[in-house]
Amino acid sequence: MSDRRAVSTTLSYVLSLAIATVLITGLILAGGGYIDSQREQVIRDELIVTGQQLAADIERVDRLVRAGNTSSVTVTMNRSFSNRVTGASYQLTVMPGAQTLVLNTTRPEVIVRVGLASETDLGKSQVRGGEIQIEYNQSREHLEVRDV
Amino acid sequence: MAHLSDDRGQILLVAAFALAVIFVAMALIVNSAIYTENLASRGETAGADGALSMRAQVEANVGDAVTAANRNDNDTIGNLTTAVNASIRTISEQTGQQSARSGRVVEVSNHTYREGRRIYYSGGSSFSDPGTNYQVATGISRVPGANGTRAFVIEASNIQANDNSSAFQITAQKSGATGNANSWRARIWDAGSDTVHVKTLKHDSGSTVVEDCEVTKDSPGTAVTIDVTGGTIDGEECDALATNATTGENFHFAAGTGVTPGTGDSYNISLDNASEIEGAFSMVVWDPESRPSSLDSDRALYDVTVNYTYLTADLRYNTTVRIAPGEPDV
Repeated sequence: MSDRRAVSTTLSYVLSLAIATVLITGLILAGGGYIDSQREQVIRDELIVTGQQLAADIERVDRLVRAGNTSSVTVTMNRSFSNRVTGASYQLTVMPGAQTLVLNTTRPEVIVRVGLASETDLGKSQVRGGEIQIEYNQSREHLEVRDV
Repeated sequence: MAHLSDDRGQILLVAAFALAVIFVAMALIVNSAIYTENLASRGETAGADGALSMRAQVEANVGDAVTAANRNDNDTIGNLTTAVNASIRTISEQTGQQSARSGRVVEVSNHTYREGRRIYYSGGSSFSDPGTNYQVATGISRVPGANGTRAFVIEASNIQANDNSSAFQITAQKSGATGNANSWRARIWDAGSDTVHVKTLKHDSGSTVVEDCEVTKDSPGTAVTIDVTGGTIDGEECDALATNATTGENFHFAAGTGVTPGTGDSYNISLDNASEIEGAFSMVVWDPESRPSSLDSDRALYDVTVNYTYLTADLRYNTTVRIAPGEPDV
């Protein structure tokens, strides 16, 4: 009797330990995956919003340039965005041909494109997220963005 | 058994710790999401809208200063520029002070001028004092990117013409052109029932395009104000002096004359059937070579170019602004 009882105790201990480990591992894996997908979604949203804000600012500068005399106008506008989106650093690229802003993070890899409408030419330029300046380059007659 | 229960506690502890890390990560993500929503709801922050509205305000104020100087200080070009300079200094100081209260810097300075001539008739009777058909100004060149005639306003006390054939006609035609080639003609007559009819014939590149408009006067009676370069009659838009609403065809003053800015090209302004209208008119032209001696004319400033600076914490805007009040955009 006492032998079987001892076996039963060890077995039930091992079994309950195994079940608890499986359950907890499952919980952590599921939770981790959920967190990852949520983080990617939030990064995407934040890049879209940042892109739209910057696109609106580029369009504002475009309006100022067109309202002024293009041979003598000076416009610079500073904007500060967060350096990182949900813990990931990001880059902004102005694509002149397609009149598009491309924002991307590398880990996790998220790429977002935001359209903009500017009558003044755009210059291809790339900046890291953070303090950004939009400037009208008079010698090249185009708008460009740069880090400040 | 006591020893065993210690081991069990460790697994729970590790699990709890891992879950705690997940919750902290989630809190950070929610925080970022909230920041994103906040960023999305922000509007204009740098003050670009203020730069444009202040620019419009400066343009209106300097325009009024130019109009006032042209009327009151027109003895010599020196008097004109002194008067406008003084006004611009006052405008710069006042807008500067106003803006400083809200943390902006606004400055208006460094002005250049284009000299022109204000031609007017204020006889009060029919426009035919110099003749029924006559030239008002000849050899008007176009300013780069704009017209060479501005603020052409007719204050008619009576329009006798009542149909197309007898209508009072304003013509702008390229110098040296024959027939109706390269011309813009506006015929004005009283269409009865307190309405004024304007028919514009634009003869551009061999074909004539016609646009009509009829506007009811502000108040019953014979008097009416026709802003020829502004494209309005008693303040109401008239397509025949502006732009066709559906096709977008340009019928602004002197459109279709084919005069290219920056070349030796020029146009002339003449009036026909001048006996069919009474009242007064006035216009400012850029540097005409001649004018009929029977019309009054004064020295005037055609336009003024000022340097406009607008600074806020995040925006730096500096441009030159050319101001020519009442100039049509063609």
